[in-house]
Amino acid sequence: MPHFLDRAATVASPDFNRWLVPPAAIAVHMCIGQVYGFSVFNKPLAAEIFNKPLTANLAAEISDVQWAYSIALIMLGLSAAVFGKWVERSGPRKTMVASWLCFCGGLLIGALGVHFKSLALVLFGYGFVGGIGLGLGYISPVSTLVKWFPDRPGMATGMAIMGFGGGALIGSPLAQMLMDYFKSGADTGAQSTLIAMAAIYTFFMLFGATLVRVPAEGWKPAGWEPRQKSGAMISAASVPVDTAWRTPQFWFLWVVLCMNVSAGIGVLGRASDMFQDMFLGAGDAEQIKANAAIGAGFAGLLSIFNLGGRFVWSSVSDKTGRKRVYCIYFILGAALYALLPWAQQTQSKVLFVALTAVIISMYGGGFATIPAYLKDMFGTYQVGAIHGRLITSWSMAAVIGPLLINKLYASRVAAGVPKAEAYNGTFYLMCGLLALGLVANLLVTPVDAKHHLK
Amino acid sequence: MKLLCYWLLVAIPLGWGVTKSVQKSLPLFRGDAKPAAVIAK
Repeated sequence: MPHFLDRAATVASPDFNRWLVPPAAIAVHMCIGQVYGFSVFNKPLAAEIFNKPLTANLAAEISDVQWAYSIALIMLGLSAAVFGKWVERSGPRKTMVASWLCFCGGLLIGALGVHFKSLALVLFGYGFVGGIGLGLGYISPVSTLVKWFPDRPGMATGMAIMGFGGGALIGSPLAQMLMDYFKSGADTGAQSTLIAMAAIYTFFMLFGATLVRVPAEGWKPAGWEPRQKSGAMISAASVPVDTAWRTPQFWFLWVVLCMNVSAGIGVLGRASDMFQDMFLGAGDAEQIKANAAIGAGFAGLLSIFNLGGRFVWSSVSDKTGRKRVYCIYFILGAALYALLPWAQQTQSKVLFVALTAVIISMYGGGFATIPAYLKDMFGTYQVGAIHGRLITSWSMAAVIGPLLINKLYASRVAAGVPKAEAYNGTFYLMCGLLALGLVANLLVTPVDAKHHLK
Repeated sequence: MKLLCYWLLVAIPLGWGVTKSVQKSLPLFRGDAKPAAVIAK
């Protein structure tokens, strides 16, 4: 590896402005966040790989293609957990370059898969290789940001993770725009779009890798002194990753993230259908089309609150403390979920939209605040690697959240409950998940000093 | 100046993505949908 990539080459000079680091982190996160916009490729990839016209019924083929997305998310969790220590050793620049190689390489292998009409190649490229890029990219800037912003770690990591949310908002319309540009005749434009996106993302990811710096040993912001209060929820000591994941605090935080994400992802994943079922009636073809646009509009609005919540709530956590802000997420979240059935019964769309917007902002906030919570508990030493292992709870939540809401909804409909009211039970279930998260959060206490790095 | 340019480089695509989402959410605020309760009757 060339010297340019080594951690030592990224140590900042004394006059370096720390506010240059967040754009580097955001640049990487907003590229890899594209994974959330993968669904835009479902139909074109299914048509291309299985040699069918776009107008054909592609339901079975689409479910095969969607495995690329699932594999990518599984690999995100696994690679973040497995490579966390390597990331800490290698530094952010080498990790960002590795992330770029995997993520953009995955897009190119995917394009090759389209060319050879090979589903296996698409799953391997976008899912497996690209997924490793996601995991590396996701944790690459975390410990760097908390070291640069010890005074505001919530805000700093919140900005990066907001970039990941923004990546979905960019990736989906960008891919659609490129496919519209490249399509001709039977060619959906998917192959050229994957190549073009790899080129565009190369620019931004390498920009991030070039710009990123780590602070010199012992650096701290001018005028800032770490708090050294014994027993406080912010530790000045550090805990290595191999010790951290054996402490109860790690597993309480694992449950905290898992419950927070499960409660949000269940709604986010069904937002469009949910709004249509609860507030919009069926009608003729034109009405169905209009309803679908309104449902998509609701999902779009939630994604904006998801994005904003990541920055706003994580910044708020710097003032309130992490434990307190998660109590707000869980208590306020459960209270708002409990009000949703009432919004449905009164057919108040405005109230429903307002309540869900706040709920989803706290879902995003939960994601964005967790690195700072880990830093408070385990110190900055290997916080990126610890975050990598904690992300496995996200993978778990991505499975249990939608599963719970879909199963309960289906059983209510099967029991004869009108579709408009069938979600009400799921909202109370979400209250239960949030209550579990609250209990786990209340159990979080400072890590025993015997685990601290000597 | 350098700081501003670097921030703009990430803010512009993010702003574009947010704008697209806002555009997508506009039908939600138009009053052309029939409520579920009305149709059920």
